[in-house]
This record gives sequence, C-alpha cells and structure tokens, in this order.
Amino acid sequence: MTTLWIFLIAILGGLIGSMLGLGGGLVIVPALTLLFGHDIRTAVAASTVSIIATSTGAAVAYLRDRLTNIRVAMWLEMGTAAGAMTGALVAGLLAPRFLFLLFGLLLAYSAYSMYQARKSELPDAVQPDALSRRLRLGASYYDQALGRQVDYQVTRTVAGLVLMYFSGIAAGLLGIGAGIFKVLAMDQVMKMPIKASTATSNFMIGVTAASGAVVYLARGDVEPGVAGPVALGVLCGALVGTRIMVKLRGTQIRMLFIPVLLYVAIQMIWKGVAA
Amino acid sequence: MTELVLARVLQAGSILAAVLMGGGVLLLTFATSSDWGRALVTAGIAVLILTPIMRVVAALAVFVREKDRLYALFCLVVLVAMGLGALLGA
Repeated sequence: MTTLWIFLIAILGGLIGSMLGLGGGLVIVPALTLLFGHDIRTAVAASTVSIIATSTGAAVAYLRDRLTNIRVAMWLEMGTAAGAMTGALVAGLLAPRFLFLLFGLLLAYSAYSMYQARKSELPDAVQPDALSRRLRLGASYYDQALGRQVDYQVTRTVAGLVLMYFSGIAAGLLGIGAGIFKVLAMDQVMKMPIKASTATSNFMIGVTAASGAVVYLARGDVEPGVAGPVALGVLCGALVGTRIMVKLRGTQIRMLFIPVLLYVAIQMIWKGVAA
Repeated sequence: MTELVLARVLQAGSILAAVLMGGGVLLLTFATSSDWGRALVTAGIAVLILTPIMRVVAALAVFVREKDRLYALFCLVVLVAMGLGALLGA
C-alpha cells in the first residue's frame, strides 16, 4: 500500500520536474521524510536517483522535438561537473548557513525578475557574443504552442558557465538546486527561450546527479523498496509531463515556475536563518 | 542527427531500467522472499545511473566522428569531472 502511494506521489514529482526542468527532489524528499517517515539519507538517495529518472524520461521527447540545446548543455555541464567536484573538495570548509542564505537570496531576486518578465513569450533581438558565435550556440525548434519555428541566439556565454560552476558547488554541498539554477542561467542570463531552457536543464540534470548517485549506490543508501517505486513513478510522470509542456506557451511555464522558485527561495533562506 | 542518437541511448537505458525495476518492485510486493526483488531493483537503478554517463560517451563519439574537436574536448572534461566527483564523494 505504501509502495503504491510512494509511486503515485513520484508521478506528481516527475510531472512537475519534467515540465519545469527541475529534479523533483522538491516533492520527493519532503514526501518521503514527512509522510512516510524515511530518514533523510534514504530520501536524498532516492531523490538523486529520481533526478536521473526525470532527466532520462523527459530528454527522449525533448531531444526529438529539438527543444534541447545539446551544445549549450555540453558547455554548461563543464561548469556544473567542475563545481560539484569543488563542492566535494571544500565540504566542511564553508558554512552551509552562509551558502543557504546566499543562494536563497539569489533565487528570491530571480523570482522577482522573472515576475517582471512574465508577459514575454520569447526574448527579443538577442545579440550573440563572440564566444557564443564561436561555439555555435544559437539554435531553432518548432514551437507547438505558437505553431511556428523559433530561431534563437544565446548571449553572456561565460557568465552562464560561471553561474553553473557556483550552482554546482551548491548542489555538491547542499544537495539542492539541481535544475533551478540551470533554468535561471539559460533563461535569465543567457537569454534563451524558456522552453528551450527547461528542456535543456532537464537534459543536464541527469549528468549532474549521476556522480552523486554512484556514491549513494556504493554506500548502500539506495533502498530498493523506496528508490524503485520512486524512480518508476517519476519516469511515468516525466513521460506525461513532456507531452503537456510542448503544448504550453512560455508565459504559462513561467507562471508555473515562479511559485516553485519562491517556495525554494523561502525554504533556503529559512534554513540559513534557522541553522 | 546528434539528437536522435542521444535520444536512442537514453530511451534504451530507461526502458531496460524500467523493466528491471518494475519486475523487482512486483517481486518485492508479492513474492515471499525479497532477495530477488531487491537485486532486480538495484540492477535497474544501476542501469538508470549509467544511462546519463553513456549519453556523454555517445555525445563524445558523435563529436569525434563529426571532427568537432572542441565539443569532443568538452565531453571529455565532463567525463573526467564526473569521475573525480564520484571518487571525491566516496
């Protein structure tokens, strides 16, 4: 019975995660610890596995729809992977409290700037910087909601990578923000269309989570009776989520993203204050 | 083109993982002994974790074939950083 409930909640996690480019740990960790009384290690390990499930399940559809920007993903993955590595190195040297506050405030500010941009469907007249041109980051996809091809350019290529590096450190140290900072880096900093940003974030989070997941699996933190139904549910949710997302307008995805952003910002600031 | 190759890798990984985990969860729920169920789910999770790593390897292969040295290098950097990250984490 519990297995069935975990499975159903995981479907919800996969649905939200795949549409917004997030891992779904947002739903999975509190559900497992608060509703089902699992300890935090089991919950975090299951959630890390579920990030890979969301990413893998959703990426197939987004790749076929050309929403995923593989070049941007490979460029930014260098930042997240190096950041996660740094995070593992400096663990214990930095006060988590300070990091929670810093990243919480950054997210709160992002929620505000995204709210201001809530009416913009696509970024207008983005001028690619020299590096973006060199790396051929600009791309194009067919938007099912708008019924037309969308061509876009990418800018502030280095700033995006730097943000990814620091968010990789945060992910390595605090186990959070797998997807949220990626979406923000692409949407707010690099000026990509929101749908391409969430789809590309989705593609990337599996790689970011894989190193951690290997460690949890080797350590025996992955409890099959919990992580199994979670991963299966998330996979199912992700398959449905992608079908919905491609039909939504960018403005609608923003309206779903902003409350999640605010929720995570408040949660992080709270952890920073209460720690 | 690159998209379709990577999509195929991810699809194969997720289907194999889902079959193993699904079979394992059914055994865990209905079978009298849980050993086989646990082993099957763990195998499915291992496949799932390997899938994104294989995706980077596949991207590396595609970029090498297209003689895109810069992006092939990016893939290598990601693979090395992932490996070191896992070693440091352990």
